[in-house]
Amino acid sequence: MNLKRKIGLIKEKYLPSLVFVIALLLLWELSVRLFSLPEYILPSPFMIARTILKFRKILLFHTSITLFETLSGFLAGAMLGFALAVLICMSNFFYRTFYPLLIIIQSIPKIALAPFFVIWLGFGVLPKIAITALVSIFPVLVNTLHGLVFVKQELIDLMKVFHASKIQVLFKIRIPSSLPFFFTSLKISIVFSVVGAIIGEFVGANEGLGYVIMISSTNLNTSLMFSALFLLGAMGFFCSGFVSLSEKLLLPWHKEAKDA
Amino acid sequence: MPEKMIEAVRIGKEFTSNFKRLEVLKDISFSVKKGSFTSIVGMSGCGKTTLLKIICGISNPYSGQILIDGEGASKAGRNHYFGIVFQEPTLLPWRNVYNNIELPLELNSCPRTKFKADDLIKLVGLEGFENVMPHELSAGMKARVAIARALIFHPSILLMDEAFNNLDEITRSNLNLELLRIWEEIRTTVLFVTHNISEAIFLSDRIIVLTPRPGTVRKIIDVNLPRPRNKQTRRLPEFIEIVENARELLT
Repeated sequence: MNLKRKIGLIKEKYLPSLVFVIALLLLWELSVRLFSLPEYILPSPFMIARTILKFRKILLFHTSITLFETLSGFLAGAMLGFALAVLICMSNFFYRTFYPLLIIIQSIPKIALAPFFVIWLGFGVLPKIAITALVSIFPVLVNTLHGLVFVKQELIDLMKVFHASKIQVLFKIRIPSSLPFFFTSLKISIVFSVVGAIIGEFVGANEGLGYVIMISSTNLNTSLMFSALFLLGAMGFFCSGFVSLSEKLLLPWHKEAKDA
Repeated sequence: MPEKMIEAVRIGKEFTSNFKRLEVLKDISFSVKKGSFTSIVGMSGCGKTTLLKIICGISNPYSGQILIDGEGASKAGRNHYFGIVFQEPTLLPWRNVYNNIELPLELNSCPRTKFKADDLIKLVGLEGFENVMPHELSAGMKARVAIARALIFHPSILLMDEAFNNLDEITRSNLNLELLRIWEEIRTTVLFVTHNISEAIFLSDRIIVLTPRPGTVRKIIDVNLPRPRNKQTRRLPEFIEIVENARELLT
């Protein structure tokens, strides 16, 4: 009974989008066949699937490289962003010293910095991780800082009445209240991270899905390009799904607790 | 001996914002007897909350003097003389009822006698809800948790800042009765801020009526209605008379 209801709920939640995606793929397949488009212009989903199967070993290798860059950069960026947010929230000195600089750096398009990282860190995975970290740090920093600073004044007053120290206010009130904001920013950052890794690979790489896209574009191997694109999409989808899932598991109180 | 638990002498407070001086409180003097129930009544924005903050020592600076049990407010604060309940229950949504009530105990070791969280849960009528999370509670139950949390250090003074404001009428009058029952059991001094005149009179031994900004004492009214009070109290002609008089003062 319970299981049945669960399946029903899942159906209700995911069925519409699933049906839509399948319909879209069918439409794509049909129009390619109908207009007999050449493969190098637009391959059909069937051809793309065939390409993925054919090159599965190579594609798996390049996917794992990009995934590694994405996750390492994301983790580094998230941790740095969170730590900086706490520092800036706790100290006026840090706030005045770093915040204006961070705003300036944030307004520079990080893509424009990618070539510099290649010059400084070479062609390996390191410059990609650095760009990814740089891209994902700001959403985390800004959102978490917001959560840390804008705590209900009454909670702060309550802590004052009980003579809590600044550190106690930080750990008992500010950090827990900022966690929903932190997770929201992680959802933004993980998607940015995939973009960051690809940008790094575009600028200079000899492995990774970005590299696959570059190479296959010069060879007019559009099917392979789409294969890499599909894998990138799948990767981003599962990564952000993982972040959402961990939020649900780690912050069960957040769901309906907005006005407690 | 009924001594003075709170004594306010010519309290004044100004805020400056955008280079404008705003006088919020002016020349407020009153005293509160130990173990009594006193309400501060005034219109919104007359500085009632500011006055409470001054009394419990979290708002500085101000002019005038506050004596708590004969001592300066900051010194009194260090000995945990205060428990406070706000308009919003301000519970921590990631802690269950029990842990919310125990929060103040985690903050520092202090020499005051403490209630056990279990006893408080019984006192405010939340048995069986110890492990429930705040978002699963009704507004009235959240208010009960907030009261229990405020009482954990057995405070000499319980400050309540429009604590029942966000409740519906029925829940509010139920909690009024509950608050009186709790107060009669622990006999602490209560200072209750509200803009609801009949609530103030129903609960209190005395009400302090404040004028609109700058807030100053308009009149202090003794409420000599019999205790224990119950639903019938609100129908007494004396009750209605005091409410009418107080209403005149505010308008």
